[in-house]
Amino acid sequence: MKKTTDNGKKSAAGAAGFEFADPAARARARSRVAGAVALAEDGELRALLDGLGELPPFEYLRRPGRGLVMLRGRAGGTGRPFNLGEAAATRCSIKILGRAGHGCCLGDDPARALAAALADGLLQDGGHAGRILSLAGRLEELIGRRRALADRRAQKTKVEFFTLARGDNDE
Amino acid sequence: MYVAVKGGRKAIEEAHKLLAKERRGDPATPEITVAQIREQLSLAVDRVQTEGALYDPTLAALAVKQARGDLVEAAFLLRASRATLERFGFSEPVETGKMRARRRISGTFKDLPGGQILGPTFDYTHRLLDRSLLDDDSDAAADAAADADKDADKGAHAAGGADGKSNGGAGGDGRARHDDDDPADGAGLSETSLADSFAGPSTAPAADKFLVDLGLMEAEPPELPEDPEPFDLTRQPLDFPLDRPGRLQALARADEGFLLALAYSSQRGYGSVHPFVADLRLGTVEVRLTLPETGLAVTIGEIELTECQTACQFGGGGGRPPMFTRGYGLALGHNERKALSMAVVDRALRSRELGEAVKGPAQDEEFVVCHSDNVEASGFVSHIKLPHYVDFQAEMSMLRHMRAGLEESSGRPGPSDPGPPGRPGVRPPAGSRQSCPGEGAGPRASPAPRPNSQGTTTT
Repeated sequence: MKKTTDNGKKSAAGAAGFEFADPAARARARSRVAGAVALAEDGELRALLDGLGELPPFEYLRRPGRGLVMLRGRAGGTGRPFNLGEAAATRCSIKILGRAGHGCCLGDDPARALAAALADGLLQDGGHAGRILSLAGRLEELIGRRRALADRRAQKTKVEFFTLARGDNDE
Repeated sequence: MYVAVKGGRKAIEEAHKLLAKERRGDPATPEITVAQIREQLSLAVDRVQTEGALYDPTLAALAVKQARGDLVEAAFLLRASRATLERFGFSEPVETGKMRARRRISGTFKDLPGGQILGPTFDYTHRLLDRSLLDDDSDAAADAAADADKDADKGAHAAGGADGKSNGGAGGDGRARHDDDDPADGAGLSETSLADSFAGPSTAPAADKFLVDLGLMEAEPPELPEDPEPFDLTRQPLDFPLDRPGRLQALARADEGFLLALAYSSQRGYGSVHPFVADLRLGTVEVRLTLPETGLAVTIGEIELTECQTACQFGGGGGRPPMFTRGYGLALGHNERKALSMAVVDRALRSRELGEAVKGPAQDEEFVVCHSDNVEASGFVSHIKLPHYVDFQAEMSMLRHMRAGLEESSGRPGPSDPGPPGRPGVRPPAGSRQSCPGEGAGPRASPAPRPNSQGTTTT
């Protein structure tokens, strides 16, 4: 039942599109899409852009440019914040279909910053939001898989230490 | 007083050419690429990132290549590069509690929740040279790594999807779910952020937490709304005493060798700290930044960090029972020795706060912070090899006056260059030219010349 509605929405997305339930939902979606673009590998990101097909024309509000983000940590991991050191970053802003899109990513990576800005801009367009969300979802899935693999790799080095005194390992 | 020298352009150009030639080494060997350095000399890259205080593995690898493997010079190159860039903002404090650890050990609890994960470590290796690595195409290690991956893949289905919270995570049905998701309801993405959805055993709580929960270790004072913005030594002058955030920033970029020696001195008795490692972990955390254009906090990437929590001997008093005290180390990349040393020195520098006698150099904040930055230190020590001809002439002249005065008062004939009489054995007041009419300029300004932030001075 629900599925039918979904499919109906999808096929209509190109024309009318959909609206976010509330501004908070839209903000959440923008934040998640930005994260997926930031964490994807280069190849995965290219796949995302290919998946978008032909893009509507866009103009730069700010061309991709390098800069710095001061990284912060916390004393003791949970306490007062301190400045840990900087990280190279790239940011970009565009205008597409009348919407401003903003992107920022770590490293010297103009292509990724542009992709983030495009995704952010298109996400605000009813006709493209659905496609962007589904592509971002795929990216998250790939990122999750990669993380799970790294986790399993690390788990293989898990150790059990035994102390040799007084037989405290008998339990 | 500084007097610049001129000339030498041709020779300097030729010196740069020779430098480039030596950097390349024997042209019969293949040239090393930045990617090779980044991937295969990653610990050198990580040290350069930490001490250069700039996280960018590719640029750090480039710096290592350009500096011919001189890591202090490479850190200098990174600092110089960062000085040319605009700062977009400050990240949210990284949540090391959510670190995706690939190494996580404790020296205090053998059975800590989440387990001890050795990860990629030199610990427990035999420190025997592996002569198989002499072969250029030694793929033994690569084969072993591939095997490990294959094994890990086998476990994929068992491990994936076991996590109930995962949204499009490792589970095999992730793709299907997303295709069928209604994009309009909460945007086709769950409420859980990506960082939360994959919290596996590697993100177990730090071991220090158990001690705190038992009341046996001091709790870390939390951030308070009235706290000032964290001190930033890249923009504010050092003003002692610093607060702990200021000290931690200085220690985070400090020279590893310097911190290691201080930590060692403290453990040997020059100070009071010989801690336990409650929790040491290496892994990745997400970096979140609030974009000023949208006001939204977004993940802009992830970085690798090494974090060290130590439990040190006892604080207390003033109505508080004795309890373990804390020292904290955090370094960019994989820098275990650095993170450990930092944690020891951080704790040593809390001596005054904890009412302990300050007896060793590691406990002296001004001494530690002022001498820990290897870019500054190297700049100031190295600048004396640059031309100081005028300074030196001034000191020569002063020496002659002193000698002349001495010989005059003892009634013996003076040296060949008498000059005006000076007071024997007394250094003229700094900056007073008339008391030391040298051959070119006055005496060296006092106090000693300070390098600028890049550590360069010309005299």
